Amino acid sequence: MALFKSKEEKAAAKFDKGSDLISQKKFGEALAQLEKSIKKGNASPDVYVLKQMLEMRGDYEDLTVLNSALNIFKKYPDVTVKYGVYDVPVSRLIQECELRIEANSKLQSEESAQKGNDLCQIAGKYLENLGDETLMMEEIFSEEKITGRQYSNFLYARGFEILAESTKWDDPRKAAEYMQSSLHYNQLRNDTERMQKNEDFINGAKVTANCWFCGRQVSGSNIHFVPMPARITEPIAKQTGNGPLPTNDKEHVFACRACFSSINIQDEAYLRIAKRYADEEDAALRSELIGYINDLQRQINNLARK
Amino acid sequence: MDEFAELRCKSCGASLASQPGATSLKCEYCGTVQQVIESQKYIEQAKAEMMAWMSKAIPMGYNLSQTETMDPVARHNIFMNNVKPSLEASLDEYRFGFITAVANQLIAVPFRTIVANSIKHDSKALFEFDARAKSVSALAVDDDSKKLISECCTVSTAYAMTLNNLQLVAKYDAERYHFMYNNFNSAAEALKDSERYDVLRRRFEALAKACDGMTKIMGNNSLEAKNSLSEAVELLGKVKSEAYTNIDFMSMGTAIANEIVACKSALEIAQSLLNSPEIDVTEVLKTVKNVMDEVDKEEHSIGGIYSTQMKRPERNSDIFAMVSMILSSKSGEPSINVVKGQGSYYIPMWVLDLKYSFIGGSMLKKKAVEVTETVMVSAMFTTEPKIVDQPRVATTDIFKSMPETTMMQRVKGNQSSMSMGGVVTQAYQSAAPTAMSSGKIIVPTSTKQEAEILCNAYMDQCKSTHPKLQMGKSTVKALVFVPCEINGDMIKLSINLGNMVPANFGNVMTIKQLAL
Repeated sequence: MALFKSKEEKAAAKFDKGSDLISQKKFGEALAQLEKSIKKGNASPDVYVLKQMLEMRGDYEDLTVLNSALNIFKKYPDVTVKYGVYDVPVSRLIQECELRIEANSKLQSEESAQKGNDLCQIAGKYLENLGDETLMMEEIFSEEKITGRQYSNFLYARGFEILAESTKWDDPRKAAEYMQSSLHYNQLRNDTERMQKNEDFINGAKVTANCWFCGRQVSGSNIHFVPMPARITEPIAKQTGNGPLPTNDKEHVFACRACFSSINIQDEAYLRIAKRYADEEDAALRSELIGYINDLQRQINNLARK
Repeated sequence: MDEFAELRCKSCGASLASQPGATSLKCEYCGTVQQVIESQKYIEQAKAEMMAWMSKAIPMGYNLSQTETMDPVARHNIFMNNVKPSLEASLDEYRFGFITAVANQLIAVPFRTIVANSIKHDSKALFEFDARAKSVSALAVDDDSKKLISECCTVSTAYAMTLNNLQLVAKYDAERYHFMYNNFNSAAEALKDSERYDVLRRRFEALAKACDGMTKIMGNNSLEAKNSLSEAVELLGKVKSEAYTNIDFMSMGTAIANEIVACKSALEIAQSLLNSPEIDVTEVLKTVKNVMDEVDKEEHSIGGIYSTQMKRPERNSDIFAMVSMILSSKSGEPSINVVKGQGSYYIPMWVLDLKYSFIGGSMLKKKAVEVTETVMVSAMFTTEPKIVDQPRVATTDIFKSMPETTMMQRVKGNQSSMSMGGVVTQAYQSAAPTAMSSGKIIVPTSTKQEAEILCNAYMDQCKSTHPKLQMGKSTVKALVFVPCEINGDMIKLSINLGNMVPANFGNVMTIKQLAL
């Protein structure tokens, strides 16, 4: 028996120690052992994959981390590593990393109809590819059990919500339909808070009213028409005619966005004129007062000299 | 008023096929049986409501029966100023409701019910709207106006039929698939000229096929049922792929996926019945109904860590697949694994590989030891909600006793295990594929996913009493049937599991009802 261990033997011992520490859930120490194993010349796929897994475990939602992990994993697609009691096929890590990168980069992008559409497409991929399988990264890194279907429901809910928000100015009815779909997925997720938000949006967006001022029929409460405070007498309230109501109570009338903005703009213009007039009056009064004060001051000075 | 010339159902508003001399009629769309006089009464009421609407919508002095001789410009003006706003507002409302309704699963496996979400309209109002739109169609002169009338009729009819089906799918009735078939066909017919709803039309056609298949199962024509259901699965698969790429119908995707699973579950039943021609079909369907009632109850009563699994549509098809295996075994095929022994009943148990790690040794000798043990879990644990919170009672508790070790072994870390599951492994190893012509075989009500959750929960429970335990992961490797006797509310296994016999297999009364 050799007195001293060879470099290869030392590298293998460090790797074994690292693997053992993973089973003990001492992940920081395990990473240090694997790094030492690599320094000693261990070039096996397992050591690189395990090292990468340990490096990403605390931050596996981060795009940079995911991308660098994916680059490593892609080098060893046919390998299955042992991570504690889990046998992890690298091909599965690649699949989950790719999907997660796609989803996270979309979730972080600017809100647009395209973003909503893309999120729905990615949700479909989660459902199709992972379905009721537990997401491995969640299971081994966070000890959480989330299935592909559950994550897909989240993405669908978010995707339809974004679609609704970005469509509401062009087509509030369509927006309400999208939000209804979001509500459907939030119901599956039991997310009562989001469900309430969805319902509030739908109740507003699908309402149709006639503008009190121009008579146009518009859909989308607080989007394309807004309630404006008013005093409506009984005889006027009775003259509602056919179709959607131009008012919902005796204290408000509905104004389409065009009339509302026109009134607002005109209102602002009048305010500006009034302000200018007030400023001019103020300046005139000010100069008159200054003159009066100066005059008084002169009189006081004259009296003092006497 | 031609639209109300024929008799209509007092309950759903659909046309009733009149039979000369009959005093009562049955609606072919919702199944309501009614006296002719009741239908006539409804028609009179509907006519009165329509008159009221028309008098409000159309200016005084115009008579709709003379529209043909009326100046087209005058007709157009009346339509644009008086009719269109009202029709458009209602159509918007109904179109929205329709899209919401079709995001629901529209078909269920035999004996199961589904309660739809967010349904705000009723089919009677929709048929009345359809009649209103038709009654003013003569006023529509230009293409846009005609298109509006056409869409009003298309949406209202298809939506009304869909609502009828959502009512039918929400309650169990042996005849429901016959009526659903009629509704799906009529809805598809209503959409046939609409390009916009083409995906939906094909979904309805596929669902009509599925209903046909399910009717045939109930009528003991499993071979033809299999053909119809296979065709439905194929058609729905195509529609699903299209729905997922069409943003307008994407919200239907999950519902269609669930419908495919429902059809596959029904296919499993058809296959089971085909596999066992000598078995009493009525008896089998009775047990299947008991199983489905139990599954339905569990879906609503078991939540927490199981909630996603319990709502999984594939749960039905997984359970039906197990029914199919049991029936094949009863027909002489060695399709189920039976543990060696004799008993009047055979209770299903999941066999799992439980991998765990624990910290052995101390100080510098501290190291992780990984162990793979065999654990058995009662496959009936979902019948007893309280087991769900106490996973230990439904499993062969391998951590109940620990292998004997010396102090030195423990210090040096020479322990090889913290559990003793040898006797369980032996029982599992005695299981062999068997054809069971005698004995009552109990249909499992849990699936392997739920068994894995239970076993993981068991592991978590053990970690609190055994702090050295670290990681744990369980994987189902088989389903075995263990011979036993049931006396009163006691289940006594006919095999030796030592002190590891599960304390609670599930609700014994329910278990007895689920035997084939």
